[in-house]
Amino acid sequence: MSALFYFVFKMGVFFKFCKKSILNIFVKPFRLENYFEHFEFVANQSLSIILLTGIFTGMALAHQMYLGFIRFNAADLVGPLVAVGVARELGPVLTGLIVSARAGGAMAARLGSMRVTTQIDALEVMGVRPLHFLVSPRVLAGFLGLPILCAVFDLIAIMGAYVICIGLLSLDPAVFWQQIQNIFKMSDVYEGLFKSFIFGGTFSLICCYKGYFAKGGAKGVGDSTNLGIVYSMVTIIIMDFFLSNLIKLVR
Amino acid sequence: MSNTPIIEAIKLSKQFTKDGDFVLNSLSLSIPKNKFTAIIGYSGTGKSVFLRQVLGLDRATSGIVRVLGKELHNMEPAELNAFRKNLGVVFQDSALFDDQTVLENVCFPLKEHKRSMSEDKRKAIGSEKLKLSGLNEEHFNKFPEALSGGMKRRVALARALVLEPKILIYDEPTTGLDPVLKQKVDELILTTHKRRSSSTLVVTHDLPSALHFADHIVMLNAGAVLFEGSVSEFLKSSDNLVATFREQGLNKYGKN
Repeated sequence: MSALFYFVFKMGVFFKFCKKSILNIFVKPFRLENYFEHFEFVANQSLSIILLTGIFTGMALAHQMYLGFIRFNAADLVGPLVAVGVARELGPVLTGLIVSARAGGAMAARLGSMRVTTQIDALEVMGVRPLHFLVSPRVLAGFLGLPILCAVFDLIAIMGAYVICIGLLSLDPAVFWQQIQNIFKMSDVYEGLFKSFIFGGTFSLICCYKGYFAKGGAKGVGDSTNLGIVYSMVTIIIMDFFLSNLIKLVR
Repeated sequence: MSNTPIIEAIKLSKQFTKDGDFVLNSLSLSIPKNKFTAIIGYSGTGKSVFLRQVLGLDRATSGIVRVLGKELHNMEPAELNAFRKNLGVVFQDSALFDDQTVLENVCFPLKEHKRSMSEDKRKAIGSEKLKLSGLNEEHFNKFPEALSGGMKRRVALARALVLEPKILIYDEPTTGLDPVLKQKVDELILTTHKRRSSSTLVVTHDLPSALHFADHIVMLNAGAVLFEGSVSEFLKSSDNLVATFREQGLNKYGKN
């Protein structure tokens, strides 16, 4: 019972932290420099890794789908199905996982080291709200940065699929694009972008929370970074299932 | 009015867990205005926990703490943030922001609290405070990681002074410094207090330093006040624990 109570208590603390962090985004003063710095860190600095993983994901997926579809003579469907799969599922999920490991881990480590070296206390006694100054810009960067990265991932994965389908599997490029136009819809993109928006907020809130409340010196920072990344990844995968079903219901 | 306390604690108690020991145990004390007060005691006697109550970083289990006549925990967040301009704090490990240069660190409180002030003006004030703290211009654009422990304390002091606080607070200012640096930092603390002629509070377990600069001594033991009075009264106190601490503290640093 006490473990359950502890879990509920901790969840309460976490959701209170989330509420305050999100509301603080809309509270003055707006430090634009600070917002841009974190946005650049989450979005721009993740771009190369997203491009790299995106193109290989598209290529691998196209190849596997081709091997399946060729058995019943439907190889023309590889392009659109890669596009739909990437836009609705793989794009948001993989982008979320990659960015939570890269940027989320850095957020947790940075805030954790600030906590254990009393820099967060110093901010507070200077009359600067640490949540407003440190957490909210990171959360906003997560919310806004991930959909952009997801869109880039989708695009580059489709390009990867194109390269494999046309260059290696000798499919017709006109048929590839025509089938995409026939089957792939913008609503698939919107669904993926909506998911990535939620995942962006999720990983940044979880990682910031773990870092913000880190304790126990260097070991504590390491532990909170580790837990931040693990919880973010697991939450993204679980949320993806529920979000997919929720979107299906709303549709 | 010089006897009006700047910090006042009334029956302050703090327990971290429901069944745990009291880290602060009905502690009551008054820190006088415009004096140099040192809170001393062995490690684990509640000095730092008391300081966190004073700074409003932690909430007591029971009791009241007033700073400049106000209870920090009853304030609205915006009021509390504005009020905190009255407190300049030098943390034990300096707590400098490692992604900012020395000058940016010192100008940071100005940037946050005096947003209409021009950057040039901020830099001029920051540079002046750094020079007063004994730091040369060649270090202004360095990052904290490139500074020695003593230099970091100087930067932290300059940052604490930049908003001209009513109370200057040091948490273990000489911990981890070698004897030469320790002496320099002690002198800097004393010079700063004399120049400002306002209230200074230092929390330390370093007795010789405390005796060197303090007018008023408060000794804590087991979360309560064991002794409170002037330096001469402290040196004459016949209380066993005070005498033992005095003897050990002075012998440890080779003073008498």
